[in-house]
Amino acid sequence: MDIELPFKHETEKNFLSKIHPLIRVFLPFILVIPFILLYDVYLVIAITLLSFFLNLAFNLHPFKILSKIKALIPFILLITIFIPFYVGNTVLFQLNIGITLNIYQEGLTLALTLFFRIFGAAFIFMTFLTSLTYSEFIEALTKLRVVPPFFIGSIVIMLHYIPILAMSNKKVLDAQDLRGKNFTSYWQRIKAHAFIMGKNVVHNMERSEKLYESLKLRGFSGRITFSSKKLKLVDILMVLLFLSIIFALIYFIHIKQIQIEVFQLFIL
Amino acid sequence: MENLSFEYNSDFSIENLSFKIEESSIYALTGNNGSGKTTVLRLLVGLLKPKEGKIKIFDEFLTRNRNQLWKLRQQIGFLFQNPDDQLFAPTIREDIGFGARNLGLEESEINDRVEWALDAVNLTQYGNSSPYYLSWGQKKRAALAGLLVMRPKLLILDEPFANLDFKSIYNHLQIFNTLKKEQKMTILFTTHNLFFIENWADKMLVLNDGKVMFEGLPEEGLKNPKVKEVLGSYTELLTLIDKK
Repeated sequence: MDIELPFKHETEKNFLSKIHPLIRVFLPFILVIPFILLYDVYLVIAITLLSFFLNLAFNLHPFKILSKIKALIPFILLITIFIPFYVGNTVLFQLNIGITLNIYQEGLTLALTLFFRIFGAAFIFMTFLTSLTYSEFIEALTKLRVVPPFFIGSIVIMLHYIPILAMSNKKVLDAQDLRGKNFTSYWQRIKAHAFIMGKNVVHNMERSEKLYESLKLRGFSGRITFSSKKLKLVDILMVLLFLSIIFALIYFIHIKQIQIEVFQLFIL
Repeated sequence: MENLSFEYNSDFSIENLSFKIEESSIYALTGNNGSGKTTVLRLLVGLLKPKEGKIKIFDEFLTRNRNQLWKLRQQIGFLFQNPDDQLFAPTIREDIGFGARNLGLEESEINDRVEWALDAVNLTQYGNSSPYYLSWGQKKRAALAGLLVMRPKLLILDEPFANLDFKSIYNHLQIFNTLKKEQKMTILFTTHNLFFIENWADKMLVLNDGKVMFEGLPEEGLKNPKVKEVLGSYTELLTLIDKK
């Protein structure tokens, strides 16, 4: 299977394509504010679900995004899984596995909040990242100005080599398979991957030197520039709009109250 | 090039290399693997520093001065053997525009040149594609377009026909011939393939262990017994292939 970068195809259009790439890189930082400020698990879940449905409505391929962030779930679980065992006073369950382990209600709520906060934030970041094409992503980084040009150049070269590295890895493994190499354990497979990866990294370092030379011959002086769009007033207005929505959600609209009322409506 | 010498880790050296390329001609540089062909090309564009000797391109001596190097490099297009060493941008169009953008041209001029280069290499419909998804031949043509956009006078091609199918070789030859005819471009290429030396090059230079073994017309060179011994010949190959 080929490794694909998380960017959309250059010709693919969606709702977010109309917004300037720089704004699309900037917006997730605004949109994750609720995840930092809200402590109520129901609200965090509500906002995550809202983001998912908006994604669906604007045809931004939410399931594709979910499949990309599923790799993050074990890490989030690792961070949150132990919290219910040591935070809180109200015992919800007791586990007897030789020793008695208490699962506290407050801890469980905190763990769930933290889980959905990280998951929701990752989902929003990925939504905006996957709405960018590779060139838009580089354009946004260049426009940000805070990122040094040599760093952008390094990112471009690194991203160029990720699929190539993955492909050459696969070819070596296929060649080993064809010569009867049989991996009996998962550990063996990992070791083989690591060895080939090491070899390919060295090989690709030589190749990146050649790439650098080819860029130098075409006038590269430390700054990579692609064609870029100009920031329009509508892009700035978009940032202000999202900022005001977030402020309204946090300070003026009582989502919790609305949620309770919606629940009551269905229950009663 | 005049009396050029170069040493690499004392394992490999080029000694007293001298040759001259006529304007608007096709010049073949050949020799066995490790004979120094690519090293000569890299010396020509200032990627390597010679130990001794002089290189004169378009009436100017090559120095290590950055500005002068860049001025000269604007007139030379260097096509790498592996197009993946050259294509780096997200789209073909961006990659082709890279060199033109570094020339400091206006955006409209850059766009015009990119479209012209795309058309010259028959890749207009792939302008917005990622180089990653192109075939080897298409990648080679895209890499070439990235050079053409800078309007060079001299094209240096490192193994331009390697790993190409017959149809792609035909396409490439057609492009190179058009460039030579319409843009009066000079072409210097390296190859192992005697077919291109015999039928395409105006002149040939044979390198053997970093030394010039022969320089002159291909029809004479390919008959030269010493050259035949180093490069081999069709007749020699045919002795091993007997269908009957």
